[in-house]
Amino acid sequence: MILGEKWKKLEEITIKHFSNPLKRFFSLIEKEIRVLMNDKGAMIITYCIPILSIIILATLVPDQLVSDEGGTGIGGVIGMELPKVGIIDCDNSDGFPDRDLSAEFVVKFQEKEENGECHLIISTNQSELEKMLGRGEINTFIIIPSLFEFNLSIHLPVIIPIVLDTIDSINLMSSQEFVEGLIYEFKVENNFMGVFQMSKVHMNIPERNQTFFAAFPLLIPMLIFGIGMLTSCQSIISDIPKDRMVLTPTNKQEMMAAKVFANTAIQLGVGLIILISSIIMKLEIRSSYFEYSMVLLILILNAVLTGVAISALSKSTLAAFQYFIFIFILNIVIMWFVKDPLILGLIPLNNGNEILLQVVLRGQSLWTCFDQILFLTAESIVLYIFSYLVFKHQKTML
Amino acid sequence: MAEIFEDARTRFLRISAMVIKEFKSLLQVKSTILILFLVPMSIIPVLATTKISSDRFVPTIWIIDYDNSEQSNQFITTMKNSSGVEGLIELTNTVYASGDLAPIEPAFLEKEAFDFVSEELARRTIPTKYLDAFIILQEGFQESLAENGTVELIIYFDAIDFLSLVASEMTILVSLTDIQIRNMLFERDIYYYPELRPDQTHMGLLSLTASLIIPFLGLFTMLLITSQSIVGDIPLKRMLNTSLRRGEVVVGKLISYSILALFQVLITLLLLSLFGIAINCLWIELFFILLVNSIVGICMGIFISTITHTKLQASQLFLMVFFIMFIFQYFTRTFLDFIPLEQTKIAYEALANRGMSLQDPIVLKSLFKLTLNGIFYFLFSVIYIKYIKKRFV
Repeated sequence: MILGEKWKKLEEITIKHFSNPLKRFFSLIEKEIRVLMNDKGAMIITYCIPILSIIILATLVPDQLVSDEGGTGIGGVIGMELPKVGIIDCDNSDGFPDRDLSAEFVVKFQEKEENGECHLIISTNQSELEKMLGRGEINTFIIIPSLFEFNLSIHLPVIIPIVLDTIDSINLMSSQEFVEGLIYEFKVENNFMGVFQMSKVHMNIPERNQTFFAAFPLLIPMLIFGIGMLTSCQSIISDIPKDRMVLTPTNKQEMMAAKVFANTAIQLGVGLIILISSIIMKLEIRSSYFEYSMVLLILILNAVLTGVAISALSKSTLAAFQYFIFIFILNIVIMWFVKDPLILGLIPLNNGNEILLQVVLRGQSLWTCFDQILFLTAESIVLYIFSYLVFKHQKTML
Repeated sequence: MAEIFEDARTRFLRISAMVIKEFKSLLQVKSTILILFLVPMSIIPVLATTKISSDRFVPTIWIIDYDNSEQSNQFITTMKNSSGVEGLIELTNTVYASGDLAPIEPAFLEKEAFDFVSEELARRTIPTKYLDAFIILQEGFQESLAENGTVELIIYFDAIDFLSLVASEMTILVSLTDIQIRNMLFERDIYYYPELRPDQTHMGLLSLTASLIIPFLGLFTMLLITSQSIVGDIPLKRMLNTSLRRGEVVVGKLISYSILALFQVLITLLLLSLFGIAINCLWIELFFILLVNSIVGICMGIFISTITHTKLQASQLFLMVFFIMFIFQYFTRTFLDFIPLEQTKIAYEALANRGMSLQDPIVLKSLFKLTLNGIFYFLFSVIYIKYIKKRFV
């Protein structure tokens, strides 16, 4: 009899302390997901962003980036525009019988122009080309020096000055790449390979979808952080019923956890799209898909928690969006331009980029990216506690 | 005639009232205004105070020496001590040769791990970050150099990280040139020497990136704020029951946000001046281009706000536009005429860096395309809100 009473009491305690809160918690998660899913337009756009970005990268850019001949082809990723090249032939020397080597070099450029690979301006006046370069009308010009043919004929190397326009930074690399490739072709054709005849072998690069492969570690964290942060930065600030909910047994701790769970669940859809796209695009990963998924999950959690923290901190929806753009742009700028390892360690975009590159593409163990994972996890925990404290001390409307 | 004037006057009054209302609602949320100006005020100083460094691109190169001759040893020693500059990049490297202990991927719980350099280890390590390239000095290296004056070098590059690949290729090229000069080894070859116009080796990061960053900040901050302007305007539905016309809503929003953009552009230019960024044109010309850039951003934002039904949809659409523009501008380089950022970049470069004026055809062409973009989004917003949009918040 006594045992039965005790058992009943234990059951009551279990219901009171565990079962009811759990039920409430799951109901809250369901409510949050329903709220997000009700906005079908927003959800469609959310899931369309990674799909569209990947499709554009897969269809509108050249598949082949790296060739074992000439340059890396990296210029092709950054700028597909035809390079505008100027050339001056200052060589009148003789060396090879029945050949005019500098003229042959110029013909090589003309052939490229005929094939639609560049715009060519042949000149005899360096000042004219300097002026055109200054106005951005050409990207680069080459000066074939005097004694070009003679030096090569007596087995000496020659140095060709290439003048580059550094103002147009986007086309700088592609024009340099073009000239480098052309010089290499000319060297191979004429066996001017120098003392060290290099045979370049590019390893670990997939045969197909090289652009997607190259953009992957940069673009994927940007997509995850952008979408995750933007969606969840509205979770608290635009939740109007939350003020009434505090009058029910629901507490802010549960509300907060439910928001994080629900937003993470929604963002897992984005992660899934990225995973499926990787499979469809035959992205050559060296990690297992389990590790890849774990990495995506860590990034998604961090993005969602940053968004929730923004939402807790903001006083209006517009302010939340403003905080988002500020943090997002700051992340991008620091990742691209700042080199301090401590500052970079605090930047989730950079950590995401490093983990995806080292673990997923290179196949290193997660242990080798311990610092980045630690930073991301610690940041996530701090953000969660911070958001909760801010949310807890927020005054409700009621 | 009097009717036309009266109509214009009442229209002007309605739009003015709309602008004042918009300002009032914007000023109510002070954090919004603060962040709008905080974006340029924090990012510009970060870039202005950051120095360019190539520390992040120090490739690790292994040399596997099968020849073990005097010449091959000399090659290794010179490679280890080689450094140089190509273009903007200072080239340094870390070289390990056969017999050296080189860092490799550590096992779980190990802080670091080392092993002796060998071809087999190199092939295993090349996908990891611990090795960027390896060179094989084949047997007969010295003999070939002595007899033919040339020798074949097989160089394996890791191509997973493209930036490291570029750095490795440049470093090896510079090192090989260095070896030839130091050892007086010459054979038919064509080298190229890049000359930079203007020479940016001593320029700050902000000077280098201003044409990309400044239009980016102006366009995207205004685009984000205005993407919420109609969809988040709760009193708008009631206001449309008054004499206010739908098209006037767009005009009112455009004017009020443009005034805000004007201050943002002014602050940006002041910061550029404060950090000593060279501007080779009249300030008013640059101001004009950046203001047009921001106004195009506002038009795009209003367009997004008009065609969406919720704030979340508008913000997601903003993000989609951001990613599409980013990919088109930096990766595919297609549809550039429709990318306002690219047009502002061209105009900014022409004015601030190349010293052209607003009347120059290059600037005028970009300005024309930029304006056309803005007009398209503005007109589409007016048409949509007037004839298609049915639901307001």
